[in-house]
Amino acid sequence: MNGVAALHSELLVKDLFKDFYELFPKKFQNKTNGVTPRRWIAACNQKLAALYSETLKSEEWLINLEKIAEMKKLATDATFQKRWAEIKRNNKKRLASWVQANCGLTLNEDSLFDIMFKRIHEYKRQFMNALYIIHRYLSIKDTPAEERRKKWVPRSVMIGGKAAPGYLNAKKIIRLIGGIANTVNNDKEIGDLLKVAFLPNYNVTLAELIIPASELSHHISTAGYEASGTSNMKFAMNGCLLIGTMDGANVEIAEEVGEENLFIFGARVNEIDEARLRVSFDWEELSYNDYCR
Amino acid sequence: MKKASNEEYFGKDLLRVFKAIDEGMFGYTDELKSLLDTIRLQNDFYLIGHDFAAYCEAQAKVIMIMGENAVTRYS
Repeated sequence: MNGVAALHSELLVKDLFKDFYELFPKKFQNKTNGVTPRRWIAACNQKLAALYSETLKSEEWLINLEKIAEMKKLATDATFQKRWAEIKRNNKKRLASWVQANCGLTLNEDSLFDIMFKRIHEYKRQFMNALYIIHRYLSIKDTPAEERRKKWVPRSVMIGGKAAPGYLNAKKIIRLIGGIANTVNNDKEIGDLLKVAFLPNYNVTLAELIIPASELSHHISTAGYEASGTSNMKFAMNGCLLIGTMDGANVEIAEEVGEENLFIFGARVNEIDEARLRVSFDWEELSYNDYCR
Repeated sequence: MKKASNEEYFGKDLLRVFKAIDEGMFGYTDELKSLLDTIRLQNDFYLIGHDFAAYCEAQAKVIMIMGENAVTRYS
């Protein structure tokens, strides 16, 4: 029996299968899910792969990804930075023309490409991202017009994902994102400071186009609910920064790349139960009318 | 009654967002109202209200760090 990320394996033995674990502790182990650098770097981001191979003078990183740590010393090298940035810029251009063709929306290729691309689910909290976009939209509008460009960096938010056929709340979340896109994209005052696109037909082929073009991606599930998650790995491998909670494989990515290289926030797994108490109902206080609403 | 009031639990930023949605700024008013009700009238099982302020803080860090780069990065 195995969990699919260190945190998930821990939750299995402490919580879900506690009794089994006490009887047969040796049956439990961890196998963190993974993705292949052949598809998620070499095939989908060929220029980046060429840069890796040229810099490392070897293709061994394709089967032993730890090799790319040798490039860490080049992080401040101006020439390397420039080549890396050119590759990212080209990937963004490629995605922008896809968005133009399929969503009829023109994106500023120099804006920050902010992406959330995963199945739509309440635990993954696309809803929270959508609420933040509205908060951001209102805050930009609060800023006096002449200060807006100083305070806000132009951002193109792209959200993609499918809802299961019978999952009404997930479909409503898509509706919300569509509504936000309608309002924000047609607000002349805002221009390229904020653009919102819902990318249709979430699938692997599209992910191969989107992930190489990403600069910020969201992995913001309620702690304890994302067993592993693997797109976090795909985004990280393509030079995208992650904003996320300490959940699933995010925990191990933070260990590997350093917590200072991720935007980590939110309740940790051990804080969830207590946080829930704050929003739970006080049954003794409930009146008949509250109860029968 | 909930143990924490909506005001203290969600905070003013999020309540302002709820208001914008309720007032129809993004259309689909009935549908979106019922979506909001899943967190403001029920238990907010996935703790959006609890984590929202921290999410905004993390986003502010993004603006600080990536903002500076975005200006110079491709020049």
